[in-house]
Amino acid sequence: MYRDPQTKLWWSRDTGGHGGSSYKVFREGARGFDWVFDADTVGNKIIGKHKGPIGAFIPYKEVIFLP
Amino acid sequence: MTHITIASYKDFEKILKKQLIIDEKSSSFPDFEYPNMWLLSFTPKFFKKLNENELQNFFSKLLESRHHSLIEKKFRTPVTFYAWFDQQALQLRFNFLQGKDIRLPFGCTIKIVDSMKPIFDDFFSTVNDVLDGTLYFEVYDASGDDDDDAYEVKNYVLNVYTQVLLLNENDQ
Repeated sequence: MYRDPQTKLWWSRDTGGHGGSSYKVFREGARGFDWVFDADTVGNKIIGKHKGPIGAFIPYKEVIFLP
Repeated sequence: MTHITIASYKDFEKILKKQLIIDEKSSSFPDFEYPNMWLLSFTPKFFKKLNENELQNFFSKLLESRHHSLIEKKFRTPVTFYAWFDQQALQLRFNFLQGKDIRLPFGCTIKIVDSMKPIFDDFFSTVNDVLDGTLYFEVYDASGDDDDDAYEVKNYVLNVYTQVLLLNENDQ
C-alpha cells in the first residue's frame, strides 16, 4: 500500500480490477483501515452511494507495518 | 453502485426492497456507474452472528426479488447476476448486467464456480482470520513496481458465481 502524504489516504493495487478499478483506497480510522472507494487507472474515484454506518474492518493490531 | 454496511438483518431487507434499475425508455440497463451493483460490508459484531445459511438465504431471496422486478417491468432481455468476495475490501459484491454469455468486467483471471459456497467459505475464512488476528496485511509507505503489480493482478484468480435471469412465457 502507498500512503498519499497530502490526503493521508492509503492506496493499494486492486487485484480484482472489476469495472476498470485499478486501486482500492483506505482511510486510517480510530481502530483500523476503512475501505473508502475504488479508483480508476488515473486515480479518479469510481462513484457510488453509501448506506449505513462506516465499518472498520482491518484493525491496526492486525497490520504489520514494514520499514 | 451502492455500498452498504450490514449491521443487522434489517439491512438485508433494504437491499431486497430495491428494484433493478432499468432505463425504461431504451428498455436497457443504464450504462453508467453500475447502478445495480452492491458492495456489502459487515460490522464485526454482526459478522460474528452471521452464518452461511443466512447468507445463502439472502442471495436466494435477492435473485427471486430481482427476477420479480424483471417480470414487473416486462424486461425481455436476459440478465446476468454475478457475485464475488472482494478480499481487499472484505466485502461481498454482486452486480446485474444485461445479456447472457457476456464477458464479465474483471481485470484478473476469474474462475466460475457452480454455487456461492466457495465464495462464502472464502469470505468467512478470511474475515474470521482478520478478526482473530491470524491474517496480516503488509503495509509499507512506498509505491511498488507497476510491472510487478500488473503481473500480480493478471495472475490473481477470483471465484465468481453467475446466474442468468431470463423471463419465460409463464412469467408474462
